[in-house]
Formats: sequence, C-alpha cells, structure tokens
Amino acid sequence: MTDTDLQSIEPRTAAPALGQSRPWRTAGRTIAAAVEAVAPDFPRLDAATRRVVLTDVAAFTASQVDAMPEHLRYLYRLALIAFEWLAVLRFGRPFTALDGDRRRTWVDFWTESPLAASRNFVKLIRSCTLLAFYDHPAVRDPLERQASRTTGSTVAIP
Amino acid sequence: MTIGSGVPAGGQGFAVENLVVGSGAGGAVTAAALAEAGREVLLLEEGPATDTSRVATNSTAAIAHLYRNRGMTPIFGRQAIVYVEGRCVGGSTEINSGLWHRLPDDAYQRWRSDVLLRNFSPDVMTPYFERIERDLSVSLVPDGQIPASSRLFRRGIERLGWDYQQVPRCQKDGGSQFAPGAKQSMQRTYIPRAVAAGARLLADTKATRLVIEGDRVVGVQVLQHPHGARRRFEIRAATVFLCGGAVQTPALLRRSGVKRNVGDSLRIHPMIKAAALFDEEIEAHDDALPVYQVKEFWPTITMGGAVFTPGFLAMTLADGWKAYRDAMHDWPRMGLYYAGTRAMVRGSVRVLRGFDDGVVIRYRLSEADRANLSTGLGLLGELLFAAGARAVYPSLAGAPILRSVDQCRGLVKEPIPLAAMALSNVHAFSSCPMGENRDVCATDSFGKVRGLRNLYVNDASLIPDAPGVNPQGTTMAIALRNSEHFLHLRRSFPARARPAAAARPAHLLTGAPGWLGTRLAEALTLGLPGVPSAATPRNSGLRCLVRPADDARDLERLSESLTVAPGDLTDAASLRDFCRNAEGATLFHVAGLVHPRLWTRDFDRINVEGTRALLAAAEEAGVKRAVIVSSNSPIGCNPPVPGHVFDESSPYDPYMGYGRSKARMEALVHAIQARGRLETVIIRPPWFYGPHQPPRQTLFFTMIKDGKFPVLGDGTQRRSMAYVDNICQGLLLAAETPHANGETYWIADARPYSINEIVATVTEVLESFGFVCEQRQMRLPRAAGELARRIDAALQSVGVYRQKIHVLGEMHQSIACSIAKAERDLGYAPTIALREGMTASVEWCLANGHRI
Ligand SMILES: Cc1cc2nc3c(=O)[nH]c(=O)nc-3n(C[C@H](O)[C@H](O)[C@H](O)COP(=O)(O)OP(=O)(O)OC[C@H]3O[C@@H](n4cnc5c(N)ncnc54)[C@H](O)[C@@H]3O)c2cc1C
Repeated sequence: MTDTDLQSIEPRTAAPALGQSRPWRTAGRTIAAAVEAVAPDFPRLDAATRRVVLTDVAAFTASQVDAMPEHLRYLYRLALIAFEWLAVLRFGRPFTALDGDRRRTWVDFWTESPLAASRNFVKLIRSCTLLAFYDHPAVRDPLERQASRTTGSTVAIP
Repeated sequence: MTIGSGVPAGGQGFAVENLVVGSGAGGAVTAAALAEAGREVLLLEEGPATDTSRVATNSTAAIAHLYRNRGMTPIFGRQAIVYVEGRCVGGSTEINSGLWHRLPDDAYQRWRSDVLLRNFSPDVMTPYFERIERDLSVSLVPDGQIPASSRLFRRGIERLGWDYQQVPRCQKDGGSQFAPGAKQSMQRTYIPRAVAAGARLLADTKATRLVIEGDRVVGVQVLQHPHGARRRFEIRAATVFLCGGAVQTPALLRRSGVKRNVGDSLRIHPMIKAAALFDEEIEAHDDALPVYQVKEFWPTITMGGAVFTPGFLAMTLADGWKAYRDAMHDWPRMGLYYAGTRAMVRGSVRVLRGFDDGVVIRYRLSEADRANLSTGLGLLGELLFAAGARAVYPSLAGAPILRSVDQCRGLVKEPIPLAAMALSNVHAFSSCPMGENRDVCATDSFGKVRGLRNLYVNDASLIPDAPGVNPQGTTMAIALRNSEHFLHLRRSFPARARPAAAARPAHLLTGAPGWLGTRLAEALTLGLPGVPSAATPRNSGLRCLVRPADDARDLERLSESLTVAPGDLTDAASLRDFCRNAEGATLFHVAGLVHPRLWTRDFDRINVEGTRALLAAAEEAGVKRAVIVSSNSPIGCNPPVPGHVFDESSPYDPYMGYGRSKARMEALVHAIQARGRLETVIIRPPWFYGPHQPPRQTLFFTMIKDGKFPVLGDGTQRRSMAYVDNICQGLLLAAETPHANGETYWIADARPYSINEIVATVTEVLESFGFVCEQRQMRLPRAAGELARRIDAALQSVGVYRQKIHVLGEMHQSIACSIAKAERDLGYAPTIALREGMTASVEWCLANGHRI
C-alpha cells in the first residue's frame, strides 16, 4: 500500500506534518486518524466545523509529539509506526486504511492492553485530543448551548 | 523590555561581568539584584519573549509557547508522572497559579541539621519574604471575588471541621484578579526592573555547556534559535549564575562535567486530580484560579482546587473516559481539585550524550507515597461529598465514578495501585541542594558550586528538600538572599586596599589563607556547624595577615567583618601595621614553617624570629591574648613503652630542626608571658587533617589508594591526629578561657590511632567514594625508617632539609599524646573522629579539584 492509497482512503482529517521523511509523513496521518477515533461526539458539531476542529486538534497533537524530548520523540514515532502496521495482523489493513468502527476497536485494544507502554501511547493521543478539542474556540459555543443546565434557581454557595 | 540589546549579531562571542542563565523566579530576582547594585548583567533565556499579559495561562496557545516541551516531559519511575515547567521569559512564574507561601518554620530547623545550612533562620529570611511580597503585591483575593469552585471547596472543609488556609496570590489589585496580566509574574516585576537598571535580556538563547578552565567557569556555550534559525557562540563571563530551574540547572551542570551531588536528590510534590459534579452551576472555566488549601493533613497531604477549562476537565477524565465521558454534558456544574503529597524519596536528573535536550528525570515513588496519594484522593473525595458533590471522578484508569463517601474511604483503606494513577507534578526542587553537608550538597550555603570559584546556582534546585508548600516564594527569597550575599562579598573586595588599621578588630589571625588558618577564619566568621563551642560566628572583626603574593579572595569573601592586612612574619613593619589599633584583641598565631624548601635555617627565621617580631608588635599594640600554634615536634617521639602518651609535663626532646625551632618558640612565648603585658596560650596539635589541606596531604590519599604508602614495621606504632575543626575548637577555647593564660595544651582527636587503623580507615573512606584501592600497602622494615631518620639528621646537621626523607624518618615511631588537660581545663571535647574527618577531607578534595 502506498502513501497515495492511504490518503485516498481516509482524507477526512488533514494530516499534520510530522517530519519530512516518508515514515514521519505516514505517522502524521496515523495521528490524524487516531485523533478522529478518540475525538468525543459531544457537543455535536456540524460536519464542516468538526472537520476544521479535528484538523486543528490533529495538528496540535502532532506538534505535541514533535515537542517531546528528542530521545522520546523517536521512540514515540516508532510506536506510531507499530500502531499503524500491527493493525494489518488483525484487520489485514494498516490503521489509517480502516473504517471508523475498526479504528475505534484497534484504539480500544491498545487502551486495554496489559502493556503499560501501549496504554500510555493511546493515553497521550487521547489527552491531547480532549484538551485541544474542548478548548477549541469553535467548540465553546456548542458546548455552552448543549450543556445540561440546572433547572430552576442556582443554589447559593456561601 | 530590551531584548537582545547590545548582543552582537553573526554568532561571534562576547564578554560580560555577570551572566544569569534562566529568567524565572530565581533568575529574574538575581538579575534585578545585581543590576540594581550597578553590576553588568546579561540575562539569558532559552524560551521566547512572548508577552504573557495577553495569554491566558490555561490555553493550548500557552502550552505551545510557554511550556517546556509543550508540557510533554515525563518523569520516569514506577509510574510515569507528567512534569510541567515554563520555558519563556519569566519561566514558570508565567504559567503558574501565583499562589504564595512563605517557607514553613519546620523547614528551617530541618535544613540546619540535615544539610548544615548556615545563616538561614526565620529572622534572616523574613525580611526577604516581606520585600518580595511587596514587589509582587502578594495579597488575598477579596471575599467577593472568590470563585464558586473555591467557595464550594471551603464549604466542604468547614463541614468536616478541617484546618485550611486561604492562600495569598501574587496579583495586582483592581479588575478581575484572574484576568491575564493581573498575576505579578517575573515579566511584570523583576525583569523590567533588571532591564531598567541596565541588564540586557537575551531570549531564545539556550546555555548548552559551561566552559571550565581549572577552578573557574570562563564562559558559556550557547545555542541561539530565534524563529527556527540556529547559531552557536560563546559568552565569556566573570561570574555565572545558573537559574534554569530544578531540572535544567543540574542537566547543564552535568553536561558540563560538574556532577558531584548534582541531580542526585530531586524532590517533587506529585499530585492526583479529581473532578466533582455539583448541583450548583460553578462556571469554573477560564480564569477561575483556586484559593484554598486543606492543611489538616499537611505536610504529608495537601488538597486544593485546580485550574479549570473544559479541556482540562476532559483531560482529567481521560483515564476513565469510557465511564466518565458523559460528565462532559454537565461541565458547567463541575470543578477540578487535587490531592498532593510531599514525596519522600530522592529522584535524579541525568543527561543523555549526543542529544541537545536529552534530559532524563527519574523518580521512583515509594509505597508510602502511593499510600499517601491514595489516602489523599480518598480524603479529597470525602471533602467534595461534604461540599455537596453528587459524584466524584478520580483521575484513575478503570475506576468507577465515586458516588458515596464510603467508596472514598475504601481508597484510604486499600491503596490504589500506582499503575492506575494519572499523576502530574509542577513543583521540583533539591536537585543541587545548598548547605555545608558535603555528603549531599552541591553548593555551599549561598549557592556557590563546590570546586568552582565563580559559579553559582540560584533557583529552586537549591531548596534542600520538599518544603510541602508551593515553592515560588522560597525560591525567590533564597535567590534574593544569595544575590545580596554575593554582592556583599564583592563590596568587601576593596578591603585589600584598605589600610589595616582602619577598623578595630577583635581577632587577629596569621596563617590564612593556609590550611588551618582558613578553617579558623571560617570558624570565626561563619561558625563551625557540628562543633558546639564553635558553632556561633564571632563576627566582631577579624584581621588576617596575608603575604602579598597569596590569593586572599576566597578569604575576603567569607565575611564583611574580615579584613586583610598584607604582610609577612619576616617584615616587622608590616606586623606593626597588622597589630595597629588592636588593643584588647586576641591574636591567633597559626603561621609557621613546617617543610622548608631546602634550608633548615628558615625554621628559625619564621618560627622563632617571626614569632618574636609578631608578639612584640602585639604587646606594643595592647593585644590582650595570643594563642600560639606549636607542634608535637618539640617533645619528639614516644619512648618504646606500650601505650605511652605525652602530656603537658613531658620533657622537651625536640625532633630535628623543626622541633628545635618550635621548642625555642615555646621558650620565647613563656618569656613574653612572664613579662605580664600579653597573655599567651600554647596549643600543640599533632599531624592534622581536614578541609583546605595542601597537596602533600592529598598525596597521602593517593599513595594509600595506589598501595604505595610505606607502612614501617608491623604498623602498630601510634599517631595522634587532629581534625582541623577539633583544633579550631581548641583554639577558640584557649582564647576564651581566662585561666588558660600561660598554659600549654595538647589538642588532638579523642585518642591516638595506629598506622594500620589510619591506613584502613582512609582506604574504606576512599572506597566509599568509589575509588578502587589497593588492599596492600608497601611494607618496609622498621630499619628503613631508622635509616631515613639518620640520613635526615645528617642532612639537617649541614642545614639541608629533604621533606620525603624527613617524613619517612618519622613513620616508624609513635607520636601519641593525651588531651586530658585540655578536656579538664578548657572543656575541650573533640567532636570529629578519624572516619568522619577523613570523609570530609576526601569530599573537600573532590569538591576542590584535587586529584586523588
Ligand atoms: C503549572 C505550574 C504551576 C505552579 N504553581 C505555583 C504556585 O501557584 N505557587 C508557587 O509558589 N509555585 C508554583 N509553581 C512552581 C514555581 O513556579 C517554581 O517553583 C518556580 O518558578 C521555580 O523557579 P526557578 O527559577 O527555579 O525556575 P523557573 O521559574 O522554571 O525558571 C527557569 C527558566 O530558566 C530557563 N532555562 C532553563 N535552562 C536554560 C538554559 N540552559 N539556558 C537558558 N535558559 C534556561 C527556562 O526556560 C525558564 O524560563 C508552579 C509551577 C508550574 C509549572
């Protein structure tokens, strides 16, 4: 499978740049796909907004990986490659070529793994995604509107 | 702010007087103090000069621009801990909550005894805290502005009847207390002050390595990276202050080869968070910073509120996301809180070769830390339910939502596995602790790095252990104290040029900056921790006679009350200057000649005639008492009687030229004392050892390490030895005990040691420092010692002195004394024995660049 194949299958969230060489470009797409898999569905956003938000969130997450101390960054990128290609053993396709449900299954598999390293790998992507998603300016309004508010008067706090 | 002004473009180096590395809490204060004292200062900052008055501290933009590694720094250990620190002009003070604490009282006592921290008490430190508090407008948030999340928290605490505190913040009055720019960070306080006083600020420039020549740092290699461009150059500096924070400072030192006690004792305050769902709408987002902390379980456990945004809330829920995610619907009714502990073990900071930023932080939480974090979380849950929470979401992997107090109590009863905890940390310290305990401290009590004359640490790394409170206040107060101490010593530099007669000294001292003389000067000006009768400094004016060719700078730095009188025992006029105006003073005459270069006649010239001229000048000036250091040599060696020790009634039997000169000196002293114008006390210390030792004593260590120390005979011959602090104690007691006038005292360690014991102890001590030692020493027959003694005697009879032959000639003999008279008359009680003293000596050698 070539890079072009991968892009044509999952073009929904633009892949952030993560280094210039080919494996790192692929890793950027892995991050974008993983961000989509873990992104929350509350609050509901219209498709265009969600796309913009997830693109920003993926860029934020990729730059977080890029900001790791050098020695860890290389390890994490290797983990991204493993995450991408080990999916072939289970689904016959790399992670970025899977549909949404399978991606989520693969993410859950890593999240629930007995190996701390694989849990931590997903945790980083999930934490960055949640932070950037919920603090995204375009999410603020829907978040305010769709929050479950208390009915009646607010209890006074002494 | 002037950024980069006066700095040449094009990557070539330049020179400054004071280079301050890092512009956070420690660096900004240091730069301002130095600049305002008129010193030239360059403040170097690795991070960008982003104006934080417009950046909310809790946004993803702040993370991107102000946080080191964008917050992606792990601490490795049994469970990874997320570590956050600032990397921008202003350092962590730009991203922190600005909660202000003074150092708790218990820490002063602990640090005095654990790390032997000098001149550090509430009395000394309170004025520094007060000044900084004024500068940072430290104040309490007015009642009307306390955020709802904090008010709920207080409601819970009060219902449980727990002890708590409203913590003041560094904040400007007026407007929202929580608005960006309200917090009085370094960008709004000390950095502009430093710049206004002439300091230059160079942002986007990282110090990558110190350039060290001998015992000095001559410059710093830097990497400048504005907007992605990279250039490397070197900045030469007369003095360097490292203020990069508790992780980066030890990393820079270690990368530069300075490793002793550096990065070995990192301490942190790890914490675990929980979100709580209330009935009330809290609207905790954006700028609502917390203000209360629970003190009921302090210092082991502290609890408080955490900064809230929907993003931070979601991150806290991330570990149990599947179970917790619906909580996001209720985010306006949720608050974020933490439980933290003062973790008790020591972590480390190490650097990986070949990486610019290859810093590895390790911290292995103990079982007690685990239990404390778990208990803290359980108690926090209990508090939140007492505050009215409907549900509590602990930041734990795979944990259920807590819906009752009983569930919380379960966390106290059965500690949670570390692997389930999502831990973070924003407080780091103690990686280069300050103090006089050379076992653990990287710097002296004022941040000067051991073994380097012009390198200082002045940031959170110095804090000796985890203080249990937010550390910015302590970091800044220590930085201000140390900066002013440094300036104070600089101001005493002109002392060299001051006429010796200018002030009336209480003490006169010869023999500094030599071995014992320097230690005694330290005892008089700083006190000797661990030696009860010498612990308090006698800071009432010390004048030291220093030969013009000697470097007295370290001596002058000891105290402003110390002045230097250039002079020589062979120059009577200089001795009169030295004693001028010293009526009523005490003279310590420590100077003497032990090993002349070649001619034995120098013994008399210095030890006898020099003493005669000195005591004459002292008599003339009205000096009250002279305490004179003699030696074991006037009494010679013990007779071959098992267990024989000399006492003060033992007859004179001078050993060679040195012994004869000291015997004549003692006779001279007795004659002067008999005239009744000058009180005298003679102190006889045998072979001494301890800090400030000369190279010949270091050679002794090297010989033992290499198995080349000559043990003559069976090695059972005994030697009295005297650790320098014990001698200083004896000298001070001799000076201050009225009835000691006219007396002579042996001053030594509590008992004599056999040569075998001395060698074995030094070997063990060296091995404890990681030296690989030969287990067998060079064994020679006693006759070899006797032969050397005869050759020495023959050479000295024609006026020639050879040190090695002389020393070998003594090695087969016992020289052992009793200190009973000093114990009885003076209350002398040696506090340090062989192993401890040798350990301190080896440490001193290592810290001062002696090669063993
Ligand atoms: C999120 C957060 C919240 C906190 N909240 C509080 C609080 O409410 N109250 C409190 O008392 N404390 C708080 N702290 C801790 C407090 O901010 C720090 O203890 C204090 O700032 C430490 O000061 P420092 O000078 O040692 O280091 P810092 O303030 O971190 O400054 C170090 C500076 O040096 C720079 N630097 C490092 N290495 C180099 C190099 N090689 N070359 C050039 N520059 C370099 C760094 O970029 C940084 O700007 C908090 C910390 C954080 C991170």
